[in-house]
Amino acid sequence: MSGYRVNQGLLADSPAVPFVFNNRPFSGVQGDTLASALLANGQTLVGRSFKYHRPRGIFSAGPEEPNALVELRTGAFKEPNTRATVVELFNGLTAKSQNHRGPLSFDVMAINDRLSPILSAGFYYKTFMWPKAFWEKLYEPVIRAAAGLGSLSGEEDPDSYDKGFLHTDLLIIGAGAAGLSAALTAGRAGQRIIIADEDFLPGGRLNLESFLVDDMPAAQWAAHSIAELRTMPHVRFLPRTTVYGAYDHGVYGALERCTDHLASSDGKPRQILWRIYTQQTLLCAGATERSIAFGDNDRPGIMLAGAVRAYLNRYGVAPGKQVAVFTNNDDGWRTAADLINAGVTVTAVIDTRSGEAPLPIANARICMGSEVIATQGRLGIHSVTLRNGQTIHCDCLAVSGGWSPNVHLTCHQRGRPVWRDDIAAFVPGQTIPTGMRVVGAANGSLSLTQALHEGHDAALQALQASGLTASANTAPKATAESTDLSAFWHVAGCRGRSWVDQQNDVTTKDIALSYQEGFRSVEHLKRYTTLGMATDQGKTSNVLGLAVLAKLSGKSIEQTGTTIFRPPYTPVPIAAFAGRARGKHFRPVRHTPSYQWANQNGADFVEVGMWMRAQWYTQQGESHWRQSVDREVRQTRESVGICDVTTLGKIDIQGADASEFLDKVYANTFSTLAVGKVRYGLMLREDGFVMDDGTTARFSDTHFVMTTTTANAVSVFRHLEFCRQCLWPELDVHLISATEQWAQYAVAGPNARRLLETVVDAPFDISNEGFAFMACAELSVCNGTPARLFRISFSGELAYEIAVPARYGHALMDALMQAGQPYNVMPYGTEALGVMRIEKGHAAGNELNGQTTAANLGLGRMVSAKKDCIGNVLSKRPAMNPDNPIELVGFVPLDANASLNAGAHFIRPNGEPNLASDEGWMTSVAWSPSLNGSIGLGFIQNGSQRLGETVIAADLLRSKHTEVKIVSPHFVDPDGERLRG
Amino acid sequence: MDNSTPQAELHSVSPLGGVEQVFSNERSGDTVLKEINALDIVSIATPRGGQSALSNLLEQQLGVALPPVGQVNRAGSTVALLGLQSDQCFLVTTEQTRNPVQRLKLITGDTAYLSDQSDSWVVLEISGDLSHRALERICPIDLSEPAFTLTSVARTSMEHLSVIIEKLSESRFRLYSPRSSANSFLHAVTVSINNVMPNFLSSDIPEEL
Repeated sequence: MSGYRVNQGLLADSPAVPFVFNNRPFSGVQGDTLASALLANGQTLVGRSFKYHRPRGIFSAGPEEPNALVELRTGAFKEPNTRATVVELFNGLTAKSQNHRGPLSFDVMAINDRLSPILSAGFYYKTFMWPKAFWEKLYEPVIRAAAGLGSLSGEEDPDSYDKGFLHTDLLIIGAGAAGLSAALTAGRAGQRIIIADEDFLPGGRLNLESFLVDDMPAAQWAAHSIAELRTMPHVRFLPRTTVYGAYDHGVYGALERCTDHLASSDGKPRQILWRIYTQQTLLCAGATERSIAFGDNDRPGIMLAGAVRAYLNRYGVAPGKQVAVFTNNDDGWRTAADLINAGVTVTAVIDTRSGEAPLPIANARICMGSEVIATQGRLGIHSVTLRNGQTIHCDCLAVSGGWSPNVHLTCHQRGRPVWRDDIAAFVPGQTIPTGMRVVGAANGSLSLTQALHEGHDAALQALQASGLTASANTAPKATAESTDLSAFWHVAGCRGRSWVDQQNDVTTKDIALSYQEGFRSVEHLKRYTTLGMATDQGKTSNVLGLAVLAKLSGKSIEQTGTTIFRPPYTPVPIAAFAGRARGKHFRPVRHTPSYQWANQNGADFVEVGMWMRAQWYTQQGESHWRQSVDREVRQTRESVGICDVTTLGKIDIQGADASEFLDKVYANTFSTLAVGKVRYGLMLREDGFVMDDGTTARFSDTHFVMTTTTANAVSVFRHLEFCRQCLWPELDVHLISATEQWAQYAVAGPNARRLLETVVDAPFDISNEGFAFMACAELSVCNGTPARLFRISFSGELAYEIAVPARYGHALMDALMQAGQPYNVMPYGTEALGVMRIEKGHAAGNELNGQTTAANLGLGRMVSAKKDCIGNVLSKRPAMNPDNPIELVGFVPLDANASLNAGAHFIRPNGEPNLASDEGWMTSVAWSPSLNGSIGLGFIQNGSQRLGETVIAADLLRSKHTEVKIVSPHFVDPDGERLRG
Repeated sequence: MDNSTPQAELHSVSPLGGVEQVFSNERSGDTVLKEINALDIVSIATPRGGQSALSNLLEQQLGVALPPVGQVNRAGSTVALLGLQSDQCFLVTTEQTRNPVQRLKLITGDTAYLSDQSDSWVVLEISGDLSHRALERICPIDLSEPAFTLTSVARTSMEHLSVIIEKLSESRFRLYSPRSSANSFLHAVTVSINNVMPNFLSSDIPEEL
């Protein structure tokens, strides 16, 4: 317990905020993060490490935090692995430390630390090999349980999420010194801007330092700037928003945390995933401080020096009562100076560099050219040991190893950063995303003055690129600062382990082991040791790890290179990616115009793509779907039934060259189709396989209406558009989907004509002579409603399809049912439709599976030899026309009581069910009320020549072998007398 | 043949039953979402090489020329031509008739290929100060001036649904989306409004609209 509130920092007069950590009540103030509030309460120990369960404290003050991961909230709202350093404190916040068994201060799994010699990097590749079966059953589960982070609630996330699209001329990423300077310049000139900052208090470093900007405290200047920007209608300010990815064509991904700082979302989206489209981008993402590797440098109380300064200046919190500073640069000295100014004791400043102290630090021991080689303290640091053997007491050690520019977004399109020796860091390379400029610390310009100037200058360039003129203003002026640094990475010869990546428990020894075992590329090092993985993505450790590897290999860091940065910059919840697309709103639902009618009349619906189709209509007394389906089939075949076929694709094709176009896309000929007639059409893919089938009606010389299967409605339309626009742009052909326009119903059965006679308006002649099989017409029904009538049959019965504008669909269904009462008309669903088409031997989706040819389907003669069409050439390949082609035939079981299964494969009697003996497969089966038994359709080699032969339908999935006889696929009315009657 | 039995005329049903919702809020004012039913929509395709002839004819007869893609040409408040693709536009008119193709054919003759689209779309209008913010949640295109003006029209997608969007004023937009998924579309727009309204509980959103 060492931290405490020194003053109010920027949080003067902020109200108290109670919260709970590990079931204990605490109090912070509004404006705190969970980390600052814990430090203010003296809570140094906040978690346990990933692998060795070592005690860990708060290391940073931002999104780079590797240690202080907590489970936030409770119940279904629980979120593990939340970085305490970015969690905004709210009234009632509940957090728990994670990854320990027993109390946080006495984790029994800390035994792992004692076992560290056998748990080094990649240990699971080399140990736990015997007995082999134990790996999955014992070793892996135990290792996973021991090396975990937080735990999930296991419940559905009760929060809602949203997404959105934003457009701007200039996206400014980061509202720190550079970002605000740029935004003021561009905003005052009237440029449309979005400025996003991941913090809830924009200002970045300006809120953390004791500098002056334009003669006022930096934080005050930031607040004034933001207030001015908020008054500009063309400026969109997005606080609590992380731009996490840079994508092609000026698209950026951003996550806005809308209600994470509130106790309840109150029904609003918790987070919004924005897609931002921008012409230009200024990356003002700042820099991240890194540590130095030395013995036991992971104890609670050891923090980044900049973080110590941030807690002090922004939150008024001193992380310790006796603070020592270990640095290789001037920035560490500023931490010491600010601590002294706040009245905090600085016990020592240890600088790896020789020479004069950059700043006077009162009452502190100044150790130039010195190093920390060890630290002491079990649950929190209490002293450090220097190379010369001196021991210095401290309850907080502030470490600064220099700053790494946040170049991540410059690399998301495979850009490679370049090394700069003067700041010992990678800076953006030449290949950064188009339209992006990198400004300030992110560009390696580490002083405040540089950031303000670069922001201003970059905004001027952006204005010029947009053709705008800047108003007369200059860059803000700031206190001068020194950023001198001498690269220093690793204190050699330490006894304790030196930690590089604290989140993944990677030490300098692990890197050495990786190098020794041949994993010497940075990418291999990352995978072998897990360096740079998990929530922090190595923000504080990557460069340090590279430096250690470079030293081992005798190369420079530049030669060693860096791993590629990929999105996201910081973690994005999967729920945010899902957005609203959850549960029944996962995708849209399509209803036919008579959906309500079907719903009111006992329909049981099935999802067909996005459509909801009635699969059968249950009547009183029916307890099994087969009862309903059998009834619907019988009634249709005996009298009349009505089926909603609105979902079939309907494509309106018009133009002087429409018939030529159809000849090219269909295998059979349509230019010869007479006006007022319909023809079945077979469409091939380029490779010669069948793509889709349907009927096409001709309403005039230049006007056709094509129907497609429900499943292929979109793909056929897309295919036709491709043909029209790309293959034959010279043709006068025009397409538009009419699927939505028409409500369409199949009226089938011996009484279909009698029923329709009552609804078609005079003088239309619906007699067999006046409107023969395969006729079509535009007419009116029910006293003037425009309609289309097609005499086509899928069921094999005398049948029609009648279409009216969708607004009349519900009413037409009512009218047909009313008019059909004398014939006991019944609606039938997709199951009865399926049964009747199998009885008739019509192919459907099961047979048009993309692997079958026209010949396979028994439609080989439809591929016209008199003209060319898509798929014609390749359909003639030898492999498509073997001597023993599979052919569509019917099957009935020898045992009349046996049922059939689709998917069964055909073998000869006494044959072994394997690939060598496979002769085909069953595609569709049904129980036929008309034949009072099971029937099936399927493909079998030379099927048409083998009628009457017995084969085995072998269903290995269900362990069922059934003897079946090969029969004609036309079980009902093979001569077509009914449909022509 | 027996078509002498008198049949009652079929009554029409709009995709959403003429829904109109007002989202009131003290801070943001009213946002109104309503279904527009009284429209005839006809697709007009231009024969190859016949653009000028058709455009002149339409200008003479209806007072509007064929628009370029992405533009709306309006004649008063009753007729608009929406330029949707290189050889296709939509005629949208408040002057309804039972067979709009038949009527338009009297004007265009063989200079155009016509297809009735009046029943293909559900048409929603969203208006109010929050309309732009609400559409940001589902509409991928830039609706601000000068990218999208009062004479702009665009085909886009919202929540996986194809949508034609037209700007009637700075805070009023008309959205056309396929009829069959009208409920899903209404839900998408309603949730968007709710999500941008201050202090509006999502529990107020009806599950089935």
